[in-house]
Amino acid sequence: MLSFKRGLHSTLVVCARTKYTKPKPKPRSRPNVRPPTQATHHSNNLNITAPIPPAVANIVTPEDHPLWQFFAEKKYMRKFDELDNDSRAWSIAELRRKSFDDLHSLWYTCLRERNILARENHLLKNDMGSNQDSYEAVAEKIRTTMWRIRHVLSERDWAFKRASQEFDSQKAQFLQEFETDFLEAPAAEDEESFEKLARLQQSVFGISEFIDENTVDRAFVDGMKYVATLKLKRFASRQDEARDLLEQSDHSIKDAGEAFVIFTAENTEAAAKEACDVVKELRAKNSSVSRYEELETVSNYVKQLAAAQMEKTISTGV
Amino acid sequence: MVAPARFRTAKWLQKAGFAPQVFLFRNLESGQVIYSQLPVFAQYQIDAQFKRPDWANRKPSTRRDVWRCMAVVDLPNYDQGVQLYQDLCRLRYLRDVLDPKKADALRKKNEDGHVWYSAQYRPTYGQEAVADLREALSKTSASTSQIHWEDEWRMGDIGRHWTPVLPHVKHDVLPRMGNPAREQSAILRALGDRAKLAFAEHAAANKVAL
Repeated sequence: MLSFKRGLHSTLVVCARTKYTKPKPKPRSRPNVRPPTQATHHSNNLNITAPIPPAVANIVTPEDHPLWQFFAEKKYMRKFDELDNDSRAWSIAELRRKSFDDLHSLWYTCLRERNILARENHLLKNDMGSNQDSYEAVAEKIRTTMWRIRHVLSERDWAFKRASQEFDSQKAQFLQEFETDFLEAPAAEDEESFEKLARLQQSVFGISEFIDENTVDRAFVDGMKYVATLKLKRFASRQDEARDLLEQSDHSIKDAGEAFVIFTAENTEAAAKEACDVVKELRAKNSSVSRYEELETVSNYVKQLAAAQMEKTISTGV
Repeated sequence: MVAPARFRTAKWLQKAGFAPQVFLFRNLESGQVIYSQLPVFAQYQIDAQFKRPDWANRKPSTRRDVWRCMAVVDLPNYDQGVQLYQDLCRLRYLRDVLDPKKADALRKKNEDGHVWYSAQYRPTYGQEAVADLREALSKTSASTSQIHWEDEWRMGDIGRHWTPVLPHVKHDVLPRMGNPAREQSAILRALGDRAKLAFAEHAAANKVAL
């Protein structure tokens, strides 16, 4: 009859559905109702608690932490009377008597001690605001030692440089003297003699004992020939093969291939004999290395030998 | 990775292949902490968790280089993970909006009565986050849970603060080989994979359909 969709405020209030009017019908039941996607809700019994400060005690410093090197006996700071106050710096005369390894280790001992002292001094000056310079005094003594070590090493370096300049003129004479001493040594001293020879080949010809470290150049090949000849001469007094070979080759090995065979053989009589046999076989086949192809051929030999040694170490290692 | 630009339900997290975890990120400049359901965060979290920014508690930026993962919490199931996140956000709301005076009374102050600070940095925010994490975990009723901290220092004294309240929570430290800041996403992904596996095993043991 009458539509109250629009009306005055008073009429709307009168016609509004209240608890005294007829209740709204129930909604129809729905069979497929999706459950709520979110079931949880925040707890209602949460409290504000005091902040939890971080704890240093949780951190365990390992015994071998590298920064311990900056602490003396793991102390935060040494006292003044714990310092080495009565010591003095090493004198140059004392340092001259020490070997390179000694000086090297002394240098690093000094360096570590100075690191410790510098840290302690920094703390003393900046954190504690002190004017004491006990740490600096000790550090200064160590610094003196360090420049003296450098001085001694520099002296040795100059001496070596001068000696090597003069050595070129006296090389032939020196090698001759060495050969005499080497051949005169009794057979019982074989081991020491060959160690001396190894040092000689390193210092004069620059041939390393480890074959793969070498670069093949003229000095290497010359040194190899010299060492091979010397080896043969050493065993010539005890072995007929070595003596025959030496006489056939005019008392010096000139072929690089033959020299390489003898040079790489072990320093024993049996090995020397084997090497002599191999050289004789080579001569029977008439295979020799031309002087113009020496460097290339020998460097190939060295590479092959190094590869063979590498394979051997790998196979034995596995 | 999808940006957590809205609240994510437990069902969504499981369907999208995330683990039941909650992540805490720490601002290196200010020390503020944001909570996230995913191993990343977005402006949404910052807007939702910093309701009362002021001079000392500015709304932080989303610059990724100043945020580091502070902790990752592994929960036994997705519902508890979501509830932990809700509790953490609620606690932040309690601190910032509902009861700021109580929260402020617990903070360390300097001699002028301000929150102790050094330039922009206020260490109290990170410490409050640790306290809130403990409070929320204790109300979550999770039987087992694990916290991966960025370092041992951050978690506080375990014997005093954690074991008496939460004896069953396991504490662990995130792997720190190499450059953890650069590798963070890879580390979090690996952690998530492990947590998902653990959840699958747990569910299989309880014969719950995945």
